[in-house]
Amino acid sequence: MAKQLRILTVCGNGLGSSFACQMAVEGVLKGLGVDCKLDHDSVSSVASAARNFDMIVAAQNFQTQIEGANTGLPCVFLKRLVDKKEIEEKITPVLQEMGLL
Amino acid sequence: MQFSEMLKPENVRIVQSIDTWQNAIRLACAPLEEGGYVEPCYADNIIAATEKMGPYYVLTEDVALVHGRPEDGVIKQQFAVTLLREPIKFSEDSFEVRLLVTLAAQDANSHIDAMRVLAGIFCDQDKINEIVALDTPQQVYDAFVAAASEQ
Repeated sequence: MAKQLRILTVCGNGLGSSFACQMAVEGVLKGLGVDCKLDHDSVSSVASAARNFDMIVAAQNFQTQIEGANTGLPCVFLKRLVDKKEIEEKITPVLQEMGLL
Repeated sequence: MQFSEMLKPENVRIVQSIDTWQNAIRLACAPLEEGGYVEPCYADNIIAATEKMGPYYVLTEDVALVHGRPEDGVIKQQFAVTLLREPIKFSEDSFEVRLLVTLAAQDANSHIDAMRVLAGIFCDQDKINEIVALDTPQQVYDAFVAAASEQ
């Protein structure tokens, strides 16, 4: 069995938008047949939380802040946090690059 | 916690229009404040956070999941739903919003069951279009409860 992909969804407070986003991403990855484990956190915790994850998904407005945290992880930035079509379009190339698709 | 305990019928409202995004936040928090679920400072804290981070709660077209942190004045976890007939914009480059779902969360995870219901609605543009066109608060409440029973 392939390794389980660990994804962190991020928003300002780590309990609302990132939580909704987590569920949308979960749905997309299930559809793609990728085994994954997700969690959500606030943007201020990204630097410390990142070591437990393989990928970060966040809203576009946090791009500068997250890139500034230098996590070294692949990041996907979304215009619409709960748009499964946008999530699939943006996450697929990253998954391919990681050899998961 | 059952979805019916997280969203009370009296916390669902329909309003014709609102003049500013700050007042939209106050409007969206009012049912929770009146019900004793959040402190009066909750709305002000969300407004302050928005001024700092931008409207982090606008999820997609028509949808905002208005929320602060537990320490911003949450007393007891609960949702409220406010439907605006005329949309409001929270920043120049964000989407127009008609469906405001306000969340008072006590921690990062205990509202997971209710979030599943909401995520199911938020991910479904047809469902959002259906809800924003409803006529009465009771119909809006019923639509959320029906979505919960579909889970």
